Amino acid sequence: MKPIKGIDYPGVSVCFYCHDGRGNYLFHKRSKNCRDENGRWDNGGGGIKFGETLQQSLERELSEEYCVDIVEQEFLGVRDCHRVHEGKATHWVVIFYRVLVDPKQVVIGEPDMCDELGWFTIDDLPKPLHSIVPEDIAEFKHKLL
Amino acid sequence: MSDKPIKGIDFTGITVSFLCHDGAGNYVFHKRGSNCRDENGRWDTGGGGLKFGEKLDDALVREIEEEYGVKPLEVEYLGFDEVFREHDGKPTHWLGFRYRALLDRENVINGEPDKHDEIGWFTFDNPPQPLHSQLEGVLDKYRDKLV
Repeated sequence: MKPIKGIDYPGVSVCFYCHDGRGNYLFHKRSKNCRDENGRWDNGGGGIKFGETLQQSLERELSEEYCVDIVEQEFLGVRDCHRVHEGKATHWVVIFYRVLVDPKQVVIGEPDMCDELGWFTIDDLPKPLHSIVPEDIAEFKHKLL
Repeated sequence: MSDKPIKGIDFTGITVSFLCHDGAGNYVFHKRGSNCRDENGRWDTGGGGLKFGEKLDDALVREIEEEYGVKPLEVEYLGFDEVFREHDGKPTHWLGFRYRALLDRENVINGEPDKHDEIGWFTFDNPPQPLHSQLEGVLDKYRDKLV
């Protein structure tokens, strides 16, 4: 059986906060087809592939989820994420970025996984949020202006 | 593939590594003995793999205590490096998080005498030779943070 990322070994993922340069951040609502956190608003990200650099992973995930290119990027930090999913411990090490994108380029890249997109300020985010997002934002809020 | 997936080969391995100092500009190094997996006879500053379920900060404290017998007094995050190499013809992929840590020099010991031949304190202007092959690049990259 193939070992599962984040369950059989610590997974590495990239997570991004896309903004328009005017204080608005891009979120998407997770559909019923997502693995978890269904119906909750998420900023975006995903697991890195073996052999892929973090930069390649960041570019790939942004392209897959929002069909956008990076205009500017900024490293926010690293967080450990330890949770329980369906009774099993999960372990992810997450690398966070703030990314400037062109809003005109943004579309839903994965319509089966995403019900809708929206732009929000950090002080007025959509609800319900992905359960881990409030902790992330608390840590990086001073950099998410 | 064997039953147990292999870190760095079957999945991206995560390590913590550290540059430990005494607060007076001296850094502790250890000389890798013949029982080490590789880089035998070369001087290294220390590090190890993150275990499943373990926080990066906890892995750092555990590894420092294993190698030098003390808990760090202060810890500072330096940055991370991605390492892509080959080992026995297979591609390897590691992500290493680097830290600078202050230790109580009086209590530092060689915590792994079966693996490390000796330890010593050196400044970065005059490090021991030969260095672990990866360490030269690390010292160059973070030199401005290693006062």
